[in-house]
Amino acid sequence: MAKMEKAALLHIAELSKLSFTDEEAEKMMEQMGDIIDLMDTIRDVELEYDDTADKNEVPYNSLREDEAMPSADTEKLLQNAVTDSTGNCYTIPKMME
Amino acid sequence: MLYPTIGLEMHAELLTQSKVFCTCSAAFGGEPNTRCCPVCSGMPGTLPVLNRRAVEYIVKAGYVLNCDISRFTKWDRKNYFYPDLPKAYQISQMPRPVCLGGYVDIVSEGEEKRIRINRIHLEEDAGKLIHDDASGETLADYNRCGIPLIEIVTEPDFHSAADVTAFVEKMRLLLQYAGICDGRMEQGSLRCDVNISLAEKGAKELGTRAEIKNINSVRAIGRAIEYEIYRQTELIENGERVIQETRRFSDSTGETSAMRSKEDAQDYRYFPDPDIPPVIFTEEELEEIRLSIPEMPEKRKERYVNEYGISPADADTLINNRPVCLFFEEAAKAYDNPRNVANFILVELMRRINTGEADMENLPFTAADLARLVELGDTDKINKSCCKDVLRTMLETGKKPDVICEEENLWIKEDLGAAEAVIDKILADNPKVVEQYRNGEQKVFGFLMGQANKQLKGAATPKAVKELLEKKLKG
Amino acid sequence: MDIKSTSLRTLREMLDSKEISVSELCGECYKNIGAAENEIGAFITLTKDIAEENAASAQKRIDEGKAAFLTGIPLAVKDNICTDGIKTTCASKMLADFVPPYDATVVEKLKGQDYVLLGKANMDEFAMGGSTQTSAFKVTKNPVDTSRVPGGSSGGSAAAVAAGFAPAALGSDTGGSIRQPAAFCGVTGLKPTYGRVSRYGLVAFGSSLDQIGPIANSALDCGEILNVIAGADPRDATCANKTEANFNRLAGRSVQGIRIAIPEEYYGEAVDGEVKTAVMNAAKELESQGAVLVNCKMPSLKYGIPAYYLIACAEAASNLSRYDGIKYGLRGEGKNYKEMILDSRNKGFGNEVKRRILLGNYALSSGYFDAYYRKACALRQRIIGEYEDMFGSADVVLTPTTPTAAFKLGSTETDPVKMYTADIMTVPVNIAGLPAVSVPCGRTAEGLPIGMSIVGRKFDEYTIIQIADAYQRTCKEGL
Repeated sequence: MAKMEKAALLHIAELSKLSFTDEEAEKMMEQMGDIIDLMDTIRDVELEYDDTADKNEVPYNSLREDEAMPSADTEKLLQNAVTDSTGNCYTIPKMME
Repeated sequence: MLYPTIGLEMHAELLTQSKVFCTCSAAFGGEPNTRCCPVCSGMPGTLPVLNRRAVEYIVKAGYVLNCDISRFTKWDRKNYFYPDLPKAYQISQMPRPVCLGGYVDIVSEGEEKRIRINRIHLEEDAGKLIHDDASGETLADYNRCGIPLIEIVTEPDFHSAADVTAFVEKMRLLLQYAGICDGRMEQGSLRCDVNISLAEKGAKELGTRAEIKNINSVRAIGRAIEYEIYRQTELIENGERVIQETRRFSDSTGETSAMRSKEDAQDYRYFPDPDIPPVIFTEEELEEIRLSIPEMPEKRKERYVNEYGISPADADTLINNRPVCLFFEEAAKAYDNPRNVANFILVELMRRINTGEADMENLPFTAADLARLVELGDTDKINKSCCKDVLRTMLETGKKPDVICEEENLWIKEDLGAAEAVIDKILADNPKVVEQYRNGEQKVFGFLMGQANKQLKGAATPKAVKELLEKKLKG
Repeated sequence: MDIKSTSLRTLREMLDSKEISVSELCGECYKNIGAAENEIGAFITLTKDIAEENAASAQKRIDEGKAAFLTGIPLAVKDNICTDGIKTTCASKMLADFVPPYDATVVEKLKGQDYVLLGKANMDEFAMGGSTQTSAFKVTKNPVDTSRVPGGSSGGSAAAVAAGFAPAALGSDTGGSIRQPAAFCGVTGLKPTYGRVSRYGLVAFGSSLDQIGPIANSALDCGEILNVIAGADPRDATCANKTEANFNRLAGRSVQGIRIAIPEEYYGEAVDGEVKTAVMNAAKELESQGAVLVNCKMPSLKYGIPAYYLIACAEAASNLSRYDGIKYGLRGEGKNYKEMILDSRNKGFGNEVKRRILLGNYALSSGYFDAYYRKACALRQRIIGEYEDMFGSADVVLTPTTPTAAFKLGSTETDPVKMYTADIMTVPVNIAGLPAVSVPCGRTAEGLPIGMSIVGRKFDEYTIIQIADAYQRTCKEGL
């Protein structure tokens, strides 16, 4: 691939919620280009994926019983967050709506 | 002629005890973030564990809606960023949902129509965002995160608001009877997104469609669709284009308006969730689930009409109100005259429900109690005309019918001696009327009967009173 | 007493017979830490106060005669394993101050035995790397040669064991992150079968590949640790419903007749001559003990790297989307949600993490999904098939753990592709979900440790430990 195109980088960056300065973007484009070249070696292989053949399925009857257990303590759960004045809610700066 | 084509995406919250991927309670409401745990709050290192009952319920939905149940089904991650989504992905199902295909038959505008179902899948609900006007901030409450939802996607088989409202009403009923969803649109346990486009009738391609979200009552669905048909018609007739966009409906204005477009169409990058192994069903497991589905409204109606002799219209009234219907069935178990029980419920109880005097959620007496009341009337233990009064007292006090009859002395005593004495007195007090009767004026008999019944307070059967009165009048 | 040369079983006996106290044992560890940690940098957080509390509880339990196997045993725990009330950073600015409100299942099990937590070990940021150089906080040096990397991403855990700071440690392995640092540092590291140990509480990187496992001074010690941390967990649906008695149960049995596959692609040009020689010598040693060497092929080995990176990074991109500063973690600045989340993630993640997120989303994005992600899944099935073929005529597979010995600090920092291709020996094992143990089997001329990997069938930790132990009993190289 050589260098990744800028438009492609910006598009993937938006999906990733990452942003880059022009300088950072240039560097990333080069590195991502090299990385994708490495990934492209699989293009030679002709293979179909059968998603029912991973042998990781489980029987319906082995699933979790529907029983409610006590929830976590709100204060402890939110101990790493910036909360509102009640301490019970997460806060987000103004949503654009 | 512009012809509307409409498709629906409905979301129904399932009535499980715990959430779909963790053990937090799935109950409605609660103070913010009090029904949460590290899993549904998206903490690092946590993992989802699928709730078997949620899977059971979607299978039931599949059977009730005539779908094919996939023997191999799996869950995928739908990736996007939004503050009500703690993991920044929603666990949903893409290529292999639990249910595919299916249909619901409805009656709309007098016609029978079949609405095809495209798919039903099981996913988790997101949290709630609350806008704090004072601080300008948005607050997040994750109580609702992880509540199990089934998403029911129809084919674009609707062509009018009436079609859609008939379908939604029927869907609500079916899901309620299946025991999997309480269908409360106002609480958000049943939600409806509408996709609507217009095109010339017979046109090969559909028009550009708009999506209307956040409609929270059946009535609003009808209004929203009517408005949207009007709006799109105006645009097309004026030569303008309909834009593909998401719109919201306002109850107060009755109009739809565009939601600020969320950038370009989202790339959700669906891929199988590696934390959730796919699930396989055996035929036995599926059959067991199918057999455990409670009797559906159509079957109940058949039974009422064919076995109980209830009229189809009355049967419809019963099945369209599930709490009343279930109450009726329980009452009919206690007293084996379902037709009379149904009658009494339809005439007396429903009336009081409509006035607000009775609340099916909070009846102070049992179905067996009501059945007993009907029985007392049928077997002439009390005067049938007293039954509605007894019912009122039952609603007010919660006392049992036998107790009330005792306290108010309503038992028909067949004490003809006492009755005679009362009648004698009535005749003595009303000589002119007696004379009129003896002169041939039959209709005053009714007056004398009324007096007798009033004073005897139903303590003798009307038949006995009539015979006695006639005898006395003959002299 | 020398931490490095005393087995866990011996430590247990010494504690139970009161030959040493828990406090004295911890003292030995702290002595070594005091002498060398400033140089080595194995820990992000040293938990001395907690260790003291743990030690007191452990001693009480021992005095009451109720000791379990790990009671009073000091361990280092990789900093991507959640510890309730104790900072768990994943070596990232994003989680620099994150204090989990819960314990990982493995930590609950260790606490259930009253172990002693010495500290949280350094690692590559979010477990993404093979040198521990992408840690946002510090560099860990290889105790054998401090100008070199300890390997990664469990570099801190391996270094702690190699330096005698702890008799054992917990690491995690997604593409080699237990085995490669164990090989570089000259210690033993075991990646269990996928689903053997609960991942609940392990901060996710590649969910279908991650496993927590032990790093210690011998395969037997690894087995002892595995005995405690393995087992079914209702909080992890991918954790197998198995209850096992003893992973060391085959240790001591003769390896007579055990068939060892030698896949030729693992011994090609990319592998250092000295590494090849050391591993082949180990093979010959096992052969002299009665094992049978079987030549075979694994033609898809060369696709292991892209298949691994595409799957791992796709999963990682999704797993790391939750880091936005709202619920926990570094909270960026911004006048609205969109600005804030971009700022949190730009400041919180290092470049390697960013690259992997970008690669992952690229592989999953519309238009590329089939060519990359789906293709990688198909390759995974093929690689699994090739292992199954090998296990048709062999009981274990023997390979070098890494193509080279430990490289110099700073040497691959600027070249991600070089780092990725160095994982070639280890990633196929994760792709197939198999158990593998890396065992020291020699030194380079410069004295750098060389490791060999013994890979087993699914859930056959028993045989790989048996063979590793057979080797370690007889060869000083092994220890």
